[in-house]
Amino acid sequence: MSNVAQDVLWPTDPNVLVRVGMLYVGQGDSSVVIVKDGSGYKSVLIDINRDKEGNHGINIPKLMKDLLRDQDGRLDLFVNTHPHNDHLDDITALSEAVDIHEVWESGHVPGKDDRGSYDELQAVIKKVKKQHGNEAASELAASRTSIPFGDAEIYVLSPATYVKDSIADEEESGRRRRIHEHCGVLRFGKDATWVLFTGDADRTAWEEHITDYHADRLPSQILSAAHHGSRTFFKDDEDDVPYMKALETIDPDYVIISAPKQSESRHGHPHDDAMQLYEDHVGKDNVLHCGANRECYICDIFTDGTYEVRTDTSLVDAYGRDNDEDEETTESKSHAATAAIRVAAPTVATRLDRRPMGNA
Amino acid sequence: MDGWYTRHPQWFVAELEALRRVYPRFSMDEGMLHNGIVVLYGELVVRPPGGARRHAVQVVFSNDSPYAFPAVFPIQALPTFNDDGAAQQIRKPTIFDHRHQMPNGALCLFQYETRVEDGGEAISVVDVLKRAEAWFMGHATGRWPPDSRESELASHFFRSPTQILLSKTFYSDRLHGRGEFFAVKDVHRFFVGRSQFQPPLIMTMATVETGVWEVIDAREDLQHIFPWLTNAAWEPKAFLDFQERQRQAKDIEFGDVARISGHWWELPTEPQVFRDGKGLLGILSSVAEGGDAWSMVSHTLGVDLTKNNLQYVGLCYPGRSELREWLFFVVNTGTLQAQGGFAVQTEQEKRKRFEAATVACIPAHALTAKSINLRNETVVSSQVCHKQVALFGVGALGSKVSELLAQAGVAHFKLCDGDVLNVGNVARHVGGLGDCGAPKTEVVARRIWEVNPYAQIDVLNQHVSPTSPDAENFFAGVDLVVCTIADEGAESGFNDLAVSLQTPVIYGRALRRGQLGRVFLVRPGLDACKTCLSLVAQETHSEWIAVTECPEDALLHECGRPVIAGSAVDLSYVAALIARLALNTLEDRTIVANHLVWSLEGAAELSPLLKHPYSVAQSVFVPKPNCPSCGPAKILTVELPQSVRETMVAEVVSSPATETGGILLGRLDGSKAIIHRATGPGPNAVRTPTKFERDLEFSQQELEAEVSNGNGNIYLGEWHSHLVAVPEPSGRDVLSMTGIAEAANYATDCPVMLICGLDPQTQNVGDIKAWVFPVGSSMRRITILGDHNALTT
Repeated sequence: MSNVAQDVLWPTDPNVLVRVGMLYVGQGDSSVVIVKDGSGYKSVLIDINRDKEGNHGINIPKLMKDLLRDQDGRLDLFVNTHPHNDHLDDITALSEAVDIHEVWESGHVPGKDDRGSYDELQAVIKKVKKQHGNEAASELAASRTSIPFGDAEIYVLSPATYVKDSIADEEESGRRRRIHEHCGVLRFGKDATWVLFTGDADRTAWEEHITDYHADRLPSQILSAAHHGSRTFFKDDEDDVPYMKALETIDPDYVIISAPKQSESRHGHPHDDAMQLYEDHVGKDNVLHCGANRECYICDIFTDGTYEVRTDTSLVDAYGRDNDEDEETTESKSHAATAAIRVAAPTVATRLDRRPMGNA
Repeated sequence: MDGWYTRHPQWFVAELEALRRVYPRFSMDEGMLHNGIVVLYGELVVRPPGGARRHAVQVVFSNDSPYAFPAVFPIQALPTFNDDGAAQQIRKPTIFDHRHQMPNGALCLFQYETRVEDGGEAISVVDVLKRAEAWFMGHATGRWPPDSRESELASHFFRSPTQILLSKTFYSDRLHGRGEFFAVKDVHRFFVGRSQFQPPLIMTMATVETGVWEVIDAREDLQHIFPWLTNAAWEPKAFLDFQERQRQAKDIEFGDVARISGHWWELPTEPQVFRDGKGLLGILSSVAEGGDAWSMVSHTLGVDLTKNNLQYVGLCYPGRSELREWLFFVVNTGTLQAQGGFAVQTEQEKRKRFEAATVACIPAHALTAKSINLRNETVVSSQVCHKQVALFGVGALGSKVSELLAQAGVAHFKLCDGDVLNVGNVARHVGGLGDCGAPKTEVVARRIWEVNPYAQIDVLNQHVSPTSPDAENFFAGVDLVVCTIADEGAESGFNDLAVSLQTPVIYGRALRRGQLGRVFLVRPGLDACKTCLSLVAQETHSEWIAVTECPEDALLHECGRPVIAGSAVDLSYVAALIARLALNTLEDRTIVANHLVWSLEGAAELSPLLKHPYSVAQSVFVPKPNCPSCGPAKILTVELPQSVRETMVAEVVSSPATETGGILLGRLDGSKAIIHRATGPGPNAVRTPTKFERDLEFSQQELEAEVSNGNGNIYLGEWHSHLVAVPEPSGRDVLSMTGIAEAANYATDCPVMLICGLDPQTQNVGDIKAWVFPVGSSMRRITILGDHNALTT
């Protein structure tokens, strides 16, 4: 019997070249990428977050364990765009749930607020190196050439190696900002069809390091929006004139934002002014916000270069934090409501509420 | 109002909750709900390359919900709702002209699934809407969810009540380009049938009018099921005459009302769905010069366009599973207000009328091997269609077994039975009272052809003795014999024959008035043969289940052949067991049990394996080493090098008026006898037209000379000629050879005999056959292997 993660995320159509699952994790980021590799597939997880607020964010370690069940738990690659909690929380649990074969990370050392997760990452890297050799961990380094990965390719567009060292000298707040300036930016796909992952890269990063230098490598049909829909992609302060060149160069068909409902975000993500800029550029229907209806987006790039984006609520329903603690895996129910026909409703203490009735 | 939700309130609540979770923006039409009908409205969003697309849909729950899933209709725009939540407009479905949309506008969503859950599977509205999303995504990208192989394009058009039978010729690659087609109503059903349904049109002929004009007459395809098709009335010429009469408005002849003709075109790809003449012109534009099909259609239909209000059109295109597929349409242009007999219309008026015409699809039944056997796919190996089965006896059991095997895909039969169908037989035979007096073989052949019109069937309408040449011809070359004659003596004879020819046989019979049945398979060398089983039955502590019959069970005695009662219901179990074992054998499946005894009510007194009703006792019986019929012979094949063959043939041809022969010398290689030399008769041989006796002294010298030369050659047996084309051992031959086997002085316990047949007509050697005579066992025919090295040099 397959489980929900496999049903939703593991491709059965051999025409799928790259499948990206932009996962709803509350205030944070996590995306799974499945890449065709001959007759099989390679798996990647980009960032991980644990939804501490209990807003039904997906329990990533549990989902990944289910997803990779028939691969002996093999996760080919874990990528950390930058070592902040909301991109790294639960990394230890992930390393226990699956067998991470390789780690790519930014190489930055965060301030003390994020040290816990960072230390966990270092421990995981140590473990991965021990099991799979010293080459199994490496630092992201921007390049003009792509890295072949399965039947597809990965571009690393940030951070550039020449700026990394200076960050360690910064004070706490400056360090946080500088890490966003040199956050990992990766592009998955092939030929003319791409998905761009931007981590939390901010305006300075784009304006000074990425947009012009990588202009040819930026165009992507699907953009995983930077920094949970924060305005920092466009501007430093709300009243600034927005920097539009990065979005214009990427020129996506779809923008996907990993953020909780705005009311549930302690940073007010996604920012209204940023949303407006995205919507102005790609159209309202083409900006997708995971938190709005607590859902995930599945993007398929096919071998012929076409692609599509679908909405999925079943991953959140199956792996959302609040209802998963006592189940080992989440088996597929082909039609979740089927049981309702024959099984009576659970017995609960009566609590009356308004029930409109009447013959008109 | 009583809606389905009053019967299944929990399902209703669960549906709405699921909807709220996944499609929170969908709303229910409260006005319709008041009438007991659940209707939802909302927008589905799909995200293909280039940006999202919204599709407004109306979702209508069946009153059979949750046992039937809701229908989804695409609509132009959402309706507005009043304060009570009632939709204020009725929206017509949007038609996409695509094969995955039903004629009423509902999307085809669940065509490639079979429902598997016990008690029926309910499909949630959320699943339905997910499928609808996939549908719209397919429409946007061309990347559709996989079709079922059997999904019918025809069902997406408005349907004509008529249907068409299309035989294999129309699926061949002979039809290319365009032409006419000619069909005839099933005249039997048309003139004498009482059915209120319209009889199907049988497509009998087509013309190909690209390049060379060619008539393709397909009537022979279906001549077995519609024998009248080959009458002169349905010759191609009669159709062309009819067409001419029709065009000139001449008198209609008897039979003309049953005729149809129309025009066909070959398309490069499968067409999309269309609903009117304009849509048809659009489809045909792909094969029209200049991209506009009107002048081509107008020119092709000519005067028919104004004379008839119904035009028949066929489209063929590359098929998904067949080489090609067909769609037929009747285009109804409506009656024309005739002015003085003929309507005068401009091209523009004609076109306008044609474009506005309604188009109905005439479903075509593909009578191809593939579609006939579709339901056997993945269940029965396709190799059975190449296997030949001979049935000895096509009565109650044999006729049913024939029918089952034909339905399973077996396409080559030999049927042997000397009986005619009597009234009493009908109670348990595939034939009916209309077949009374006809030979059972013919009745069964017709039934097989009804299942597969292309089946190859040989019939032998006589009782056959196991030892007659007919019997051997019947056994020769077949892959399996099914023997249901239930005659112990004759079966023993057939057993010996089958063992000697190495032909597998299944014996089946009903016992005790159909309360029991015995079925067993004999693959010579692998399974106990019938004679082995009689040895097994005599053993103590035997696994054999002995069933004694009661003489009182016989209802009648037809000159010594008793008629035993037994209902068709019970015999069907036995027939099915026989057919299943036959199919396993033909498919080369592993045979777990070669002997089955079935009991209707249980027969614990016969065997503990038959304790319960409907039980089958399965056993495996292997050949008995001491079996006189199949006990292993030392020699199973004989190798006859070309040079030796030529020596024998030369000797035989030089003695056209008398038999001749000699002895065979050579060596044994395992179970193969390799002949090194065939001696001549010797000067003192006795030779008459019907007798041969070799020169003893000469032969002994030849033998000793050969043995003493140190090549290891020994005496293998005898050879001689018969002055007939196809030789068979005579009584004298058998007596002599059996004597040689038993006599110690010959130093062989398995002598070989070759007989060359000298055809008196042609004076050529027609056939050479070989037999061995294992001591203590019966004679058997063995295969002659040629010396291929000699043949090629």
